[in-house]
Amino acid sequence: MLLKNHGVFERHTMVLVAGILVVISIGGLIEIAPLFKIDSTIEEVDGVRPYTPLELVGRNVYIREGCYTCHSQMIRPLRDEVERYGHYSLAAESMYDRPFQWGSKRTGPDLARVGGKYSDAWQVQHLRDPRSVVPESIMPPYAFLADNEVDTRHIDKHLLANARLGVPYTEASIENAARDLLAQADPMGDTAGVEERYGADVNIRDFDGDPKRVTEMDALVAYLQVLGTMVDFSTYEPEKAENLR
Amino acid sequence: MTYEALASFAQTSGVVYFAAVFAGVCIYTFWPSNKARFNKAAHMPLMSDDMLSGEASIGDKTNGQA
Amino acid sequence: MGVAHMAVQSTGSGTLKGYGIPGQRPDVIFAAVVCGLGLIWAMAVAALGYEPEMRAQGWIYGTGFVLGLFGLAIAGSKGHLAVDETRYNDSIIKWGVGLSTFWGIVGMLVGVVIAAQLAFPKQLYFEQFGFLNFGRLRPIHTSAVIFAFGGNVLLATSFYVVQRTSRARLFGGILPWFVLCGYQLFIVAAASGYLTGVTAGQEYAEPEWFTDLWLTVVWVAYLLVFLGTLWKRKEPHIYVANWFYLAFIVTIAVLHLVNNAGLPISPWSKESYPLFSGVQNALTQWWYGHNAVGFFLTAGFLGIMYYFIPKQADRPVFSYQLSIVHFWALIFVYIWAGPHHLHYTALPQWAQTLGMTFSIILWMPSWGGMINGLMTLSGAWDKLRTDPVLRMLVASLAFYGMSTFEGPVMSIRAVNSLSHYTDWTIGHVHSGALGWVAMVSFGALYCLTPWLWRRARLYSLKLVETHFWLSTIGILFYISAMWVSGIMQGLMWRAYNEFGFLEYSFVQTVDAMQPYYIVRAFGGLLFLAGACVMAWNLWKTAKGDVRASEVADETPAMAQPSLAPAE
Repeated sequence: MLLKNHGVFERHTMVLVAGILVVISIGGLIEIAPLFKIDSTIEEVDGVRPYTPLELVGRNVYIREGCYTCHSQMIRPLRDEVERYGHYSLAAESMYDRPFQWGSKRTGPDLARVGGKYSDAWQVQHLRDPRSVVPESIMPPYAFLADNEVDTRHIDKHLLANARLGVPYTEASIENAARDLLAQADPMGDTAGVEERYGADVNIRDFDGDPKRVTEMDALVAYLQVLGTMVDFSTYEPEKAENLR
Repeated sequence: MTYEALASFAQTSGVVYFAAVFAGVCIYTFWPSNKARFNKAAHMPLMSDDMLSGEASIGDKTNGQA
Repeated sequence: MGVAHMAVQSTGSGTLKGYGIPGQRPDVIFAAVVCGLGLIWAMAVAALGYEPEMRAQGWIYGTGFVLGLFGLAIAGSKGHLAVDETRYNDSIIKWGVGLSTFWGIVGMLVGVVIAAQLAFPKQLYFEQFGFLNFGRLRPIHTSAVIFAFGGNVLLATSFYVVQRTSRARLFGGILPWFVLCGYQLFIVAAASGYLTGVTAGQEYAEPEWFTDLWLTVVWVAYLLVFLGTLWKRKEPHIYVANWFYLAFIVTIAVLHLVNNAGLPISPWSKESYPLFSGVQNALTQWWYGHNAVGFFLTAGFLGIMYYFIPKQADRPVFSYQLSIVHFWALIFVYIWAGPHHLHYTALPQWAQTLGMTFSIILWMPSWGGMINGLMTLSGAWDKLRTDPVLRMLVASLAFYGMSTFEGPVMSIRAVNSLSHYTDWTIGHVHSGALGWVAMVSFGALYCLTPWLWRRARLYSLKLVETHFWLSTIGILFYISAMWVSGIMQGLMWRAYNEFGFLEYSFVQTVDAMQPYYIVRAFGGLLFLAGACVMAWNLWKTAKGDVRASEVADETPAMAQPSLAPAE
C-alpha cells in the first residue's frame, strides 16, 4: 500500500521545495532587481575613475588583512558624520569596488575620505606601529607590509578580470599594468603613461619612503591616499532630480 | 522597463504578494479536513527511536501500516 | 525486539538488496571520482598556483582528497561500505556530534582571543606574526562558530531528525559521509585561507572562489541526501522540522550561488572579483548576510527546536497549525529584511524602507515560533525543575525571543542611526548566536549523546547545570557590556560641545571602550568554559560512565525507556 502511493509523496516533497523556492526568490527578485538598472541608481558625478594598478594591489592588501572588519567606508548623511569625516558617500564612489568595502563596524574610524588627510609618512608610521602616533589606538601593527615586495607578474590579469566585469580599463592600461604599477611609486621614472591613463590628479610618489622597492606598504598607502578624493564635488548637484532617490 | 517603474512595482507589490501568500497558508493550515493529519503529524517526534524495520513499539501512533 | 535488533546487527557486513558490490555502486564511484579529480586539480594548483598561498591551498585540498581516497579504500577492504537498509545511519551522527563540539570550542576560543586583542592590544599583537592580527582571526571566529560549529550541528541533527521522522535510513549509501567529510574539508580550507590571506572580503562569505565551488558540490550532495531520505520515507506526512531543514538547505544554496558569483583572474590564482560592484554588491551581500542569519542560524535551528523540545518534553508541539503558519511566514518575511543593514547608506531609500518594514513584521513569526516552542511545555512545566537539558532548550527560546525583539527595534532607521557601526550590533548578534543558536545546539547535543550511544542517562546532570549557568552568566556579561559600550559609543560620536563642535575625537571613543571590552572578553571566557564542561560531560557519557556522586539520585525524566531494552 505504501509503495503504491510512493509517487504522490515524492511529488509532495518537490512541491515543498518548489514552494520554498517561489517564496524566497520572488521576494529577493522584487527587492534586488530594480537596482540592476545601474545607470539610475548611481549619481552623475565627475572624477570617479578605476583604480590604478598600484591602488588595486593596495586594495587587495586592505581586503586580505581584513581591514573591513573594523573600518567602514560609508559616511552616512548625518550631521556629526559629515562634520567628522566629510561629504556623505555617494553610490558612484564605489561603482568600481569589487567587492564593496562599506563595512559594518567602526572599531576604528571610517576611511571613506581618509585620502589626503594625513601625510604618507604618517600613514606608514601608523601602519608600522599604530600606538607610536596614536597612543590609545587598539589597531594591530602592519610593519611586515614594508618587507613584502609587490608581485607584478599577474597584475594585468587583475585589470583584465575587472575589465571583463565592466570596469572601463582600456587595452593600453591592461597592457602597461606592470609598468604603471612601478611608475606610480617612482616619481623619478617615466610617469607620463600613468598620468595619461589615470589622469593628472593621480598620486605619484614613493609612498613608503623606500625608493629601492615597491612594497605592499606602497600599495596600501597609495590606496588609502586616493580614498574619497576622486569626486569633484564642485560639479555635484545633490538636489538634481536624478540624484534624488 | 525603467528603474522608476521597477522600483515603484517593488514598493507596492510586496504587501499584496505578502497578503496573498499569508492567506493561502492560513487556508491550508486551518482547512477542517487537514486537522486530523496535522494532529497525527504532531506526534511524529514521539515515535520510538529504535524501529526502522516496522515493528510496533511503545508510543507509536502509526503502527500497523507497514 | 531485542532479538530483532541483534539479528539486524549481525547482517552488518556483506551486500544487501538494492546496493550490490561496493565497486559498482554509483555513490562509491561518485566519491572516488570526485576525490580523484580533486586530487589532480589540487596537485596542479600546488605546482602551478600563482601565489604561495594558493599553492598552500593546493596542498591542503590534496591532503583532504588523499585522506578521502584512503578512507574509501580502507572502508572498502573492511566491508564498511555495505549499507544496511534496516538500520539508521547513526555512526555518522556520532561523528557529527563530536565534530560540532570540537569546532564549537575552536570557534569560541578564537572569539575569546580576538576579544582579548581588542582589550589588550599592546600585549596580544606580535609584529613578527602579522597573520595573528585581528583582521585575519575575526573571519576565522565568525566562520568557525557559524559554519563549522553551527553547520556541523545542523548536519548532525538534520540527519538524525530526517531518519527518525521518515523511518528510513539516510539516502545515498556513502553519500552522507561524503557530505560530512567534504564539509570538514571546506572548513579547513576556508580557515587556513583566512590565516594565510586568502579571502574574498565579503563578511560571512569570505571563502575564495574555489572553496565556494567545493562547498557547492558538497551542498548539492547534502540536498540530495536529505531529499532522497524524504522520498523513501515510510510516514505519509513530512514532519515540520524537516520543512525548516529543507528551507535552510535550499535557500543557503541560492544565497551562496548568487552572492559569490565572480570571476577569478586565472584558474591558478586565489584572486577573484565579484560579479556585482558597489551598491549592487552591497545589496546582494546583505541580502545574503541577513538570510544567512535567517536560514542558517534561524530556520535550521528551528528545525532542531521542533524536534528536540517535543521529544525531550515527551509531548507533541503546542500547535502544529501554528508551526505551519510560522514556517511560511518566517521564510517569506526574512528574505526581504536584508537592507536594514544599509540604512542611511548610498542604497536607494525605498529599498531601505522596504527592508525596515519587513524587519518589523518579522517580529510576529519569530515570536509565533517562540510561543509555540514554549507552550509545548504547558502542563509539564515541572520538567524544567528536574531536567537541565530541557531547561537549556527553553532558555535558548527565551534568548531567541529577546534577540528577535531587539532586531526589529534596531532595524528602525532612527534607532539604527545610533546603533549601526557600534558594539550594540555585536551585542545583538551574540545574544542571538550565544543565547539562541549555541544554547539550542548544546541542548540538542546533550539529547543526542545518550540517544546515539544508547546510554540510560548523561554522565552528569549537575555538570549540565554548571554549563547552563556558565553560559547564561557569560552571555549576560557579554551583551550588557556591548549594550553599554555600543550606546555610549554611538552617543559620543554624535555629541556636541557648547561651541557647536564635535565633543570627542574618534580615538577618545575607542579609549572609553576598554573596560567594556575586558568585561566582554570575560563573558566570552565563561561561555567557552561552559562549552569545555559540556565536551567533558559528552565524552564521559559516550564512554558509558555515570558520575559517582550522581549514581544514586538518577532522575527518571532523563531515562529513555524506549532505548534501554535494545541490548
